Order: sequence, then structure tokens, then C-alpha cells
Amino acid sequence: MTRETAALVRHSARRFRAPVAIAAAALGAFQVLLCLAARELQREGMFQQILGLIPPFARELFGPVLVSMMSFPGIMALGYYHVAIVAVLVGLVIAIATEPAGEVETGFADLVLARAVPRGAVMTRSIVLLAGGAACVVAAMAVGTFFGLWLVGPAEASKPASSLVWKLAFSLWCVLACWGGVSLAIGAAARRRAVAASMAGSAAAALMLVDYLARFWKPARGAARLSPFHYYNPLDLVIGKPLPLGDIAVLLGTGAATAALAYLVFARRDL
Amino acid sequence: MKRFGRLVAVRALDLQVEPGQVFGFLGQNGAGKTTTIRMLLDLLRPTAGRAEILGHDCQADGLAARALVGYMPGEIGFYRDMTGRRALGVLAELARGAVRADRQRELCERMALDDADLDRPIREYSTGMKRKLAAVAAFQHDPPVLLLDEPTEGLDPLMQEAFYELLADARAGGTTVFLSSHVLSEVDRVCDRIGLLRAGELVLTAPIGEVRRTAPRLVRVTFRRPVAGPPSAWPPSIEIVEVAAARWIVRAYGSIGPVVESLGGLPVADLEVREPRLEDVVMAYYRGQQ
Repeated sequence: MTRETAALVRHSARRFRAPVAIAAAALGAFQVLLCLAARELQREGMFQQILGLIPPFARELFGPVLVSMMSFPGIMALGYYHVAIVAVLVGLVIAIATEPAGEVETGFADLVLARAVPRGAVMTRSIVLLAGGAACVVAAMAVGTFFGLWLVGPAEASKPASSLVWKLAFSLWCVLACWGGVSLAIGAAARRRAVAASMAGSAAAALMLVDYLARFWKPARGAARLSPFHYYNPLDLVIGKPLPLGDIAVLLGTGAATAALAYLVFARRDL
Repeated sequence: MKRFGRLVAVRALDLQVEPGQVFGFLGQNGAGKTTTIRMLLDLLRPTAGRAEILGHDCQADGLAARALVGYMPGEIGFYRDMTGRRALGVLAELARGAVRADRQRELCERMALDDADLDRPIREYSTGMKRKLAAVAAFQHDPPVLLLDEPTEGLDPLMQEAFYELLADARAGGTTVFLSSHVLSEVDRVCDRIGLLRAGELVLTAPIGEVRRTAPRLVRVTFRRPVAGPPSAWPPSIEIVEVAAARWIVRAYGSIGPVVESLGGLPVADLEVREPRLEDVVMAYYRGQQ
């Protein structure tokens, strides 16, 4: 990392430390609470009762995923796949990734790039922050999960393996890295931050809905392949499937390709 | 040349600024001054043509070119929640030449920015204070070239004076200054040479003394008693501005000898000659008369 990039990273890290710290603390605490809730449900035998209430056709429709959700690891993993939490995290990466558009809009980019700072340094700065910010929040979630398991976890035999927590955290980070790349590409081309953020946010919401729709409606399955969320299935990890390397490759590949596109667009555009 | 869609912002611009010179870049709003400066900084890419700063191509060798530049933009884009001190710190870190703390302090003192001002968030700054901060940021690494886009806009007269002194010091130290402005008195005072841009085209470039020499002088003639109108056959270098019974005002291009000769035999009480002003030339160009 060059001296200029390091200076930009320090400057932007100072700007984003509060939202990242708040998200990390809130989601880490939420994981502890989920472990507490899962222990209560397990202690009162609620998982079996709820499963008993679900009609057979619904069990058939959702398959083993439904059973896995109604378990201690399933509830523990809720923070890694719940739509609200994923939306918050995607929102956070969009906020970080659209910083270049904000700097062009306010004119701060003029002050920075009128000096001997390569345009690529602005993109590298954003990538470092995206990767680091998302890693901080996801790591805080993992720490919250481990703390919750240590505090109220079930007996050793039914305790979720620590590797499951790391796999969930890594998969979530991959989705965020993918959205970070996409948002960065949009932010690199935009002149106004609000436009870039709303475009990236709308795309995320639309593709999330397409992925949900495809889970129940076959005709949407082809389109769902375009959604990064299609390649993120944390409940498969909960039921014991291995880390899907193909899906991880798609997510990281998309993130890398769109980040490369962001470098190219930002290097060629008028500011 | 720079084109934005159908609009040609800068079309015919061929000029050279000598090292150590203070060059005034004049033009009305929208003439293309800021676009030119932003092309020099590689913030905008020219549609055609090229520019160099001290031998470094502004696009192909942009980093080396920009390492030599201090820039003060027309619209200051600091983050509103940053303090002035933090903004100067970030920009100092990004400058290739090291910024000396004592130099930064001296500039802040000269621009009347005290510690309390520097520790306030920029959202509490007035337009003038932001300008002063931008001036410190542009000068603090003592660059050999200064690109200043309407630098005194929004500064009070005292601060304008302080800024001109900074500029004079920079010039004395051999700094090349490229200053865009539409404040003609400022250009007249600080620049060695001017270039005038009209609708993206360079219509005049000359040393400021030469421009003044080509400017017309206003001659006010007062008569002891009412006289008939001026003769119909005036020399072509004289232009009538105003005619009253006992007073004529004429504009004389070049020598005022023909005016004096034309007044022969008339009861002249007084002759007042106003020195040529840069404004007169520039305004004529603005109006498209030259």
C-alpha cells in the first residue's frame, strides 16, 4: 500500500469507525441474545412442538432446511441469514462503497486528486475499508456467537461446532464482498452519492426478492442465478453440508470483477 | 479542447506560462477557466490536445505534474464534519513534498486562522474561512506551481490583502502562478501577463503592461463657453463618448496628440486625461468589440 493510500485509508477509517463499531456491537450482542433464545426454546422442547405444528406439505416444500431451522444451531445461525440483518450489512457496505461518489459530489475528490495521488488509490482505499469493515462486523458476530455458546450453549454433544460458526461468518463476508464490489462499480461511475446508493440498494433489494421468489416459484429460478444471494445458503451449512466452494468462487469472483471494473471506470471518467 | 456532449467548453487554447510568472486567466462565467484548470490537474480529460506542467504531461505523467502543484479550487469541498486542522493534516499527508509544521502555522497566522478556528468543524466555517483554509492547503507544501481558481472570491478586503502578500512572497520565491479570476483590479495588481478566454477560446494573451498600453484613454474636455458639436472628420483613433454644450468626452486610442490638434481654436478651459485601465480592454473583449 502506498503512502497516499494509507493516508486515505486512515482518513476514511476515522469517518466510518462509528457506524462499523455500532453495527459490530449491535450484531455481536444480537448473536448472544439468539443463543439465549435458542437455549430457552430447546429447554422447553419448543423445537419439537413447532415442528409438530407444521403440516407435511410444508415440510416437503422446505425439506431438511425447515428442520435445521428448528434447532439450536438453526436459531443460532439466524443472525447470519435473517433478511433484516443481511439488509443492514449490505446497507453498510453500500455506504462505504459509495464514498468515492460522495467525494466527487462534494469536491473533496478534487482536493485529493489535485495532488500526486493516483485515482486507483481512492479505489484501493475503498476496497480496504469494505473488506476490513465487513470483516470487523462479521468477526464481531462470530465472537458474539462464541460468547453466547460459552455462556448458555447446550451440552457438548449437541453444541454446534466452532467450524460451523466460522463457515457462516466467512460465507456472509463473501456476500458482503460481492455487494461491496458491485456498489463500488456503481459508486465509481456516479456523480452523486445518493444516486449511487439508491441504485445499489434497489439492485440489492430486487435481487434478494428474486432469490426469495425462486425458492418457491420455479420460473424465477433462472433469473435467480443473477442474484448474489442465490449463492449464499447458510442453512445448508447448518444441516452439515460442506462449504460450497463453487458458490464462494462466484461471490468472490463477482466482487473482484466488479472491483476491477470500478478501477477502470474511475480511472477513465471526468471528475 | 474539451467537449461535454454538445457543449464545447474549451475550444482553441494555446498558451505558455513562463516559469516564475504570475499569469492571470480571465474570462466571464462559463468561459472555460475552471475547465482548463481541471484539465491541467487531470480531473477532466481533454477531448483533444495536451498540456504540460514544468515538462510533465498532465495526463500521461500526471502524478509527476501534480506533485509540483498547489491547487485552490473555486468551490471548496472539505468534509463538513472534519476540523480545519484535520483537513490540513490529511491534505499535507497527501502532498509529496513534506509539509513543515512551522510553515503551516505561519500560513495559518497570515490567513488569520487561530487554534480555536482550526479545531472547529468545517460546517461552522463561513465561505471566507473555507477559502482561507484552502489557501493554506494550497501553499503549505511550497509547490513550484500554484493553480488558483478565483482565489479571493468571498475573502474580506483584509484577507484579500493578506492573500496578495502570500502571492507576492511566492512570486519572489520563483513560484509560477496560474490564477483564474474575473476581478480585474486583482489581476491588474498581481499578474505579469494575462490570457483572456471568451466562450472557450483564447482571444488575448499579452503582458499586462502591453495590454494597458493598447487600452484607450478617456479624455474629458471642458470649454469656457458652449461650443458647436465636434467636427465630423475626427481622426480614426478618436471615438466620441459624450457630447454636451460645454463638455466633450472622447476615447483616444494611442497618442492623445490628435485630440489636442482637433481642439485647436476652441475655448478649452480644462483637459482631463484618465490613465488607461485593464478593465477597458477586457470589457471591450467581453463585449466582443475587439
